[in-house]
Amino acid sequence: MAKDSLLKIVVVALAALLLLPGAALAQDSTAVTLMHGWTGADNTEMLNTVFDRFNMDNEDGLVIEPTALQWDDLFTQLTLTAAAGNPPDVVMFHNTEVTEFVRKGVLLPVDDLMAAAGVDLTGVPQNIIELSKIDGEFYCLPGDLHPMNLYYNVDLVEAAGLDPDSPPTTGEEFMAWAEAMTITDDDGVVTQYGVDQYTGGALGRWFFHTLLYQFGGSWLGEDGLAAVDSEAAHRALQYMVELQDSGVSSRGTGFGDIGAFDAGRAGMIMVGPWMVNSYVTRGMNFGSAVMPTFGDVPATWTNTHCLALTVQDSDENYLNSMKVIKWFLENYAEPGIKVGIVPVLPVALADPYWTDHAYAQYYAPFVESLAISVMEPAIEKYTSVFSFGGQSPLLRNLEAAQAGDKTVEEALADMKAGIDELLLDE
Amino acid sequence: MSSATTPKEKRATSSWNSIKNDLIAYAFMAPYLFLFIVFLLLPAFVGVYASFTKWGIIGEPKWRGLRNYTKLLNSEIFIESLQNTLYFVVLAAIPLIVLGFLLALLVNQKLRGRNITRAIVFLPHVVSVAAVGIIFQWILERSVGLLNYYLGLLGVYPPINWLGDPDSAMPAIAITTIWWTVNGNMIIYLAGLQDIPEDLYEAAKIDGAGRWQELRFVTIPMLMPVNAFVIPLTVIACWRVFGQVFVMTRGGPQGSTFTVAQFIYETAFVKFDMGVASAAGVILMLITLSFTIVQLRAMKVI
Repeated sequence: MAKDSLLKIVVVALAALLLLPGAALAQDSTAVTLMHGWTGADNTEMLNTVFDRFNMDNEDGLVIEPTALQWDDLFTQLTLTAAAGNPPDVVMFHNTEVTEFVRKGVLLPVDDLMAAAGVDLTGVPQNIIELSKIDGEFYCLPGDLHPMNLYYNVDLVEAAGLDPDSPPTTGEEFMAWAEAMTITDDDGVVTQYGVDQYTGGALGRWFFHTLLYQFGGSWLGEDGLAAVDSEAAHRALQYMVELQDSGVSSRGTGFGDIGAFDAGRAGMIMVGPWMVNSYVTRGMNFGSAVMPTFGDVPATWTNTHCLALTVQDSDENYLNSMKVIKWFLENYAEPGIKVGIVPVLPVALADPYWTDHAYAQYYAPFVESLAISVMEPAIEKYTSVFSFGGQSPLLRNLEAAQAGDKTVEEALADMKAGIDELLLDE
Repeated sequence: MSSATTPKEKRATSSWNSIKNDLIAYAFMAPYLFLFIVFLLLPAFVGVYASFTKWGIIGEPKWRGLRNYTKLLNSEIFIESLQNTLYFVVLAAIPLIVLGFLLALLVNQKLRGRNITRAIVFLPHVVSVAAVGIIFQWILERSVGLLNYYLGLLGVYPPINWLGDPDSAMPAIAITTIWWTVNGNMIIYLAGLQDIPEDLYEAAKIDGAGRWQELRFVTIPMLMPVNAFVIPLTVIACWRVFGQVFVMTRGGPQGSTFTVAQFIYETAFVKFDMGVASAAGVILMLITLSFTIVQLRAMKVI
């Protein structure tokens, strides 16, 4: 046999070996690509086990092919893949980003597909249903809420002579707890803080949001521009400044994984349900409670994860993708417990995996606070206005006021000017 | 009968050999050149074009002329990012060069444990920027950080909010950067030191030179070619600082660590304004180019 012929046979055989598994997959199963932002080794691995369960159980031959990305990277990748005409079939992100991607033409209205796949949102609170619609059409189906609430270190609470079964419900009670748990040594050095409260970053912004709505304010006015120069905003920021100045706060930066509460050197912190797993894993003796009411009405920050379909060149995989979403929403209990998010579908909340789990006690206040949860406005320029980046006029001015570099009035005036500039930028 | 080669034929053969050598050289360079052209040069040209357009990645770019540039030059935040980056260059570049040189001198000594010392000093260089950022976040944390703990033992109180105070955040990032990358310069200087012929030092000794005079009249002049490499690269790297800032402060507090590279990133991939981001990139390129030319001129390299 000539050397050339032998070479051709080897090449063809290798090509066949490489292509055959793909051909078999193409024949027996249909891939549904899914992009999500639940990163971190535990979350990605856990989610993969949930997807594996779907891949094994479903009778339609569907196979979820997940891609996990950090949230910032997800927004970038979603935009880039959409621009290249190759976005994932399903994307799982937050309701607050939906409007932006709908206006970019990336997301698909799904009312017809929901009916075809039999998606039933009965029992989901109406305010959450409304969040999922734009111009009356469903774009992103809600899976969970993850409101910000209060955590406290039971050991430090008890050491301060407080009752861990009666956590604070008002601003006054909160401050009493914070003061009781703040310890200063003989040299005047604070060795333990009452509260691990951040001046910036996500936790700083979300606490301001919480206070803004508790004092009756909102981010935007009727003119669509920033309303952060309101009396409510003034009272909210003034409260944060006074909290920082009171000496009970750790004054963290808002970035980084380790803070005073995590290290057992602060009595309280306000953060979302996703920290439950982390605190349990670290062996902390902790409790959780509904966000205290510092202002006039109960309210707390929240966001929601939702699942959306992207616009594709062909509609052949839309129904398959919607079937994946339906299954995932109905089986949200396990991700809910393990990621630390509260499912919104009644069928998931009634799942024994959720109700009987040892962590249910920690999640109970989060379920309770769904009624007072308020999202940031899902505006078209959400990722610009509510960015965690250094350009953010929101964070810059929150930090400046708390550092005493600007008065509350100056900070709010500058914040409004900066946000308005972003909103009006063509 | 031997055939005599005419001068014309000799020239032709020589010319063909030269071309053949060139082709071989280009063949060796081809894989790198291909990647360089596809992933750096062409995108750079597209970036320059994009800087004159309005483009949100999705859709077609629309011509805007110089409006992106005028917008940037009137943007307080962009100017602030330039000032912050210049501050970082001053804080980090000089120590990176000087300490890199001094460390190279140190590990070039014929001392016991020299190789282990070299490995230890070089070790941070192999750590990823994300890990470096997180480690230093923990070290510099205000209430439970390692640095404030030891400063507290020395009586420093109240604790310094390294990453939360606009005055200390950029120096903290510069210190992190120096710890992380100074060893890269050290290795280059070390290679330069080992290239200096020993007989120069012997000649200097015969002329009565002491250690300081050897350093001044032999080592430093002989390292000028290395300086011509290290100094511009270090300054350029400092102008492009991004990862440490992104992980440790995201440009805060109050924008005090917000650098040009972060401005470009946020404008491109958060605001999806590729035109303005590209224009900022072009300006950054022009700045680093100017710095490099001035430095090389001052060193009489060009």
